[in-house]
Order: sequence, then structure tokens, then C-alpha cells
Amino acid sequence: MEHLRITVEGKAYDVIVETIDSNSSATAPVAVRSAAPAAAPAPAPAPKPVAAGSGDAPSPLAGIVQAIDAAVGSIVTEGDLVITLEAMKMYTPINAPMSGTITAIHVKVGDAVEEGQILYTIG
Amino acid sequence: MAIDPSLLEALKLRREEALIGGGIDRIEKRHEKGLLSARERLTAFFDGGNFIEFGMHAHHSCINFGLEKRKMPGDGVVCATGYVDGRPVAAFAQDFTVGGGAVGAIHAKKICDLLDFAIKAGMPVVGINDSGGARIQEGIEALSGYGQIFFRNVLASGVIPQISIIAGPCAGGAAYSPALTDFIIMTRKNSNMFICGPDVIRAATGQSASLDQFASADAHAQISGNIHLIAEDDQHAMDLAKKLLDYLPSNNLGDPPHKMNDNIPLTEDLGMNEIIPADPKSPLDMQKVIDRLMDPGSWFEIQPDYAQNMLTGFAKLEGLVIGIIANQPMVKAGCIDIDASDKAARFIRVCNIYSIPILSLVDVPGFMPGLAQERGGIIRHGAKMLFAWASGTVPKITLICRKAYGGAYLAMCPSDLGADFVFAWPTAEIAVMGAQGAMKVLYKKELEEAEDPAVLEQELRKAYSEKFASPYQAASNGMITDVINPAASRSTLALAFRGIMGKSESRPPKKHGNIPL
Repeated sequence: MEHLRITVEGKAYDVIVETIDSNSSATAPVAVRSAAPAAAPAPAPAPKPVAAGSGDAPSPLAGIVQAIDAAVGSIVTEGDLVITLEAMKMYTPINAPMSGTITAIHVKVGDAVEEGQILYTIG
Repeated sequence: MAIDPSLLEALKLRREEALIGGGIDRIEKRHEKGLLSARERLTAFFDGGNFIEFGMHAHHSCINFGLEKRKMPGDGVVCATGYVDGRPVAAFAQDFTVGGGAVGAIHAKKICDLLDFAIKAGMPVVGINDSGGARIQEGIEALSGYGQIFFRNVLASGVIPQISIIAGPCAGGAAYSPALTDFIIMTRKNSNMFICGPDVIRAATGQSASLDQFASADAHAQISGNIHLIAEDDQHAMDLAKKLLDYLPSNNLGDPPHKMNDNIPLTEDLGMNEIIPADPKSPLDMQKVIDRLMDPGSWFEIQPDYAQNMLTGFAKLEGLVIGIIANQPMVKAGCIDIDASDKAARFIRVCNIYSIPILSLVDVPGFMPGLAQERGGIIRHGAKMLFAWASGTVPKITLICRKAYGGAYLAMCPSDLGADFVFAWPTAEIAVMGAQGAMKVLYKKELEEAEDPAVLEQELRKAYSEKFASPYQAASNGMITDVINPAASRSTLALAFRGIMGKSESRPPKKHGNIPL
């Protein structure tokens, strides 16, 4: 059983999610209006077409982190090189998708990363 | 005996009524939103704003649900022929101010008649889509109208260039007419294209999705790959359509509008050598290579936002129109994946239809490895590129810049797939697989038994790389026309293309091949 908080159009819901199989009796998931809505829920990561406002830089392919050219707090402009991956015997630059300050770097040199994994975040 | 003036007066009134479409108020509301009316769009498209209109006085004959009392000038679509850069072109523009631009039987007939005319006359067709969908009052007549338009889109496919502009809503079945055409341009704002809208998606699946996520120009340009170009506004959309026509012939029997230079300078471009990184792992920016190779400002990238590991587009080389297929090592290491395969195969076929010679620029480490790729059918999708190259009879020239590995090399058109010339830079690495992978197959046993496997592997790898990480083995086997100095690429390619333009090649007669869709 998993306890999740889901925010829909500004309203926070506490939801209990239960994994069921075809044999067990199905229990309808219960949605409970949160008594105290979480303060200022963080916006959900935007999908790719409206990614202009999202500072998450996902890995375009599976590979190894070869170099990190910025640190948390670094100020970057759109297109700056932040991380270099090595994959398929090639270096792939992961440039800043937007201008801003790097608020988090989620990987370190030598890490193996999956396609879609968030490498760093720009605030 | 002069003409009865009342006849001319009646004509004038009828024309005025037709030209105003859904009325001044509705047109002004569009202007406030930054939109042009249907006729203003055609005026912006044709040379001098002049066009001959087909069916200005057309009117629906529907008597259901009170529609008999509603006037619909031109039945909601303006059809015309005119000139673009001096060449005849047909175009239609759906008029959203007239009944929401909805498609009824007469509306559809006007579009069909224009398509028939354009096929007969061998001229391109540009369709400006801005419609609420089927005119429900006309029931199945409207649906039938769509079917007839689709049928003609298919008849025209491969005969005359068809360009669709999405400049408003284009929903449900209506989206399939643009989908059958060669190029789709979509305005960034005020337009959307989808089969099922957010309400239907929610009702059927419970998923909550906004139009921005799946129906906008950005979504189609980046993710679905359904469209080719994004326009900032109506005028820009017309300009992009005209720019496309600048690279296309009027029909499949004509030549593209080459404006060939009299002389081909043999000067070397030493700057080309500067942009090639010494480290084979550092990616070469293929956009820079294309910029240096082609006539300044002539590179017109098609689908620039989709599958950016594969570049496709038109350019001019000493005035000759060519199509370019190029790996882009800056994105996903230049690997070929499912989307890149589809994008490239489609573009190769567009070039083949319209007699546009093709340049393939190769720097590819392989097909993209991964579960999602294999399960997504990379075999079937990658095969489309092989199919497109082998069935293409236009002049094909391949330049191997750096990596050319395995099946991905074959998918970029070596001589085996019908390239007329294959050039390679001294940096070319042409091999069946990379050194690391090859060691594990070739020397598995030796490496296991070696006292110091690392040292042995290093030696073996060096020997392998010397033999295969170069263009000379392929050149000695006769697979390469010549190994050239990168600085000489532009003049070498220009001369080669100029020399192969008279190529004539045929394929066994058949209905059509069975491209793996």
C-alpha cells in the first residue's frame, strides 16, 4: 500500500494506492481531501512540449557521466555546457535548457545514467 | 447595344457578398487575435496578391436543421490558382468566419475540384486548414466529402507537391487530409491538430491531458513528428510555404528550380578542417559542416525539432537544389533510433519523388541500443531507410566524415545501397563494429588466458583500430570513390553532383514495393 499526495488544480488530495491482483477482492482507492493542504505544492514537472519553464535536464540516452562543468549555485545561460556524457564511444554534451542558477546536480562523474534520468536542475 | 447595367450591378453585389465571407465583424475579431481572413491569407501567399478564384458563388444545398435559411458565402472555403515566384500554384483556404469553416458537401467538392485541376495542370497545391470540422447538419454527406478529399490527396501524392498549413483548429478526421500531404506547417499559436480532444480522452481513458501537451505546434514538431515546420504567425506560414516551393519542382516530371552557377570554384575551405575535433570521441557539429558545405543561407532544415540526432533538409550547392540526410553526433551521439529512421526515410522518398539529388553526411556510431528501441521495432523502422535508399533513383552522394559503423553505416547509403559517389575524410572509421566490442568477439579466448589481459587488449585494440578506424580498407576494396581533404569537400561535392545530374536508372516494373511501415 502506498500513501501519495496528489495535487489537482491547486487542491491537494491524500490518496492511498493499493496494488491488487485479479484474485483479491478489489478495494476502491479512497480519495481523502487533505485536512491541511500542503503549503504551496511544487508544480509538477512539465511535459516536454511546454518544457520552456522546466529546468530539469533529462539524459537523452543511457551513458556514463564523463565530466561535470558546473556546480550547485553556478549561473548558466541557455546552451552552456553543464554535463558531458559518454555513450556509444562518443561524448554527448548536456547543455543548459534554459538560463538560471543550477539548484541541484543529481549525478557524479562515473555514474551510469538511464535515458530520461534527470541529471541536473536549473532554478 | 451595350450590356444591361443591372446585370453588372447584380454581379457586383454578389461578388461583394462573397468577398466579405462571414462579415466585417468576424474578420475584425480575427485581426484582433492577429489572424488573417481566408482571402487575406491567399493574398499574402500569391505573387502580387492576385489569384483566380474557383467557385466564389458556390452555396450549400442543405435543408436540415434550419440550414436552408443560412447564407454561407463560398460554402466556407476559398479556392484559387495564382503564381508564386512566377510559377503557377493552386491553393485553398478554409474560411472560419463562414459557419466555422466546417466541411459540407459543396465545400468538399470545391477542394476536390481544385485538387483534380492541380493534378491535371501539374501544379503544387497549398491547403490552409482552419475549420471546426464536419458540418453536422449535412450528416454523412460531410463525412463523404472528407473521404473524397483524402482519395484525391492520395492520387496527387507523388505527382504534385502538397503543402498543408494548419492555421486554426484541425480536429478529428479533418487532420487526415494534411497527414496525407508532403509537408505540414503549423502556426505556433491559435492552431491545434488532434484526433480525440481532451474531453474524449478523459471520458474514454480517465487521462487528463491539455491541448498543449498533444495538439499544439510544439507537441507535433517535437514529439509526434506529425508536422515539419512551425510558423510564428499567418504571414510567416505563407512565407514558409513559398520557401518550400523554392526547392521543389512543380510536379514529378519537372526538375527542381536549380539556378546553377556558371563556375565551380576549386578553392579550399581550411575552416572546415578547424571544426573537426582531434579526439574521435568529441562530437562533430554537423550543422556547422552543412553551413560550410552549402551556399550561404540556403540550408532549409525540415523537421528541425524532431529526432535531432538526424538532420534532414534542403540546400543549394553552387545553385543546385539538393536534399541532405545527416547524422548529428551532438545529439544522442548521432545514433539512429526509431524516430530518426522514420524522419530520414520519409525525407529520402520526398527527394526521390521530386528529382532532388541527395547528399548523405555520415558520422554514426550505430543504431541506438535499448529495450525500448528493440521493442518499438527498430528493425522495421531502420529498414525503412534501407528501403528508401535502395529504391531511390535520384543522384545519391555519400560523404563519410567520421564514424560509419555496422548496420547504421548501411542505413546511410554506402555504394552497396546505390550511392553514385562515396567520399571519405581521412578521419573516417568504417567498420562492422567498434574496437572494444570486436575484441570481445575476436579474442575472447586469448584474453581469458592472457597473464595480463589489459595489456594484451590494449595491443589488440590498437591493431584493430589501425586496420579499421580509417577509410583505407574500404578504399582498397573499391567501396569508396576517393579519400579527400575535408577542406576540398565543397568543390568536390559540387563537381560530383554536377556530373551525375544526367543519371538515368530504373527499377523492375511493379505496383509498388512493400516498404516496412
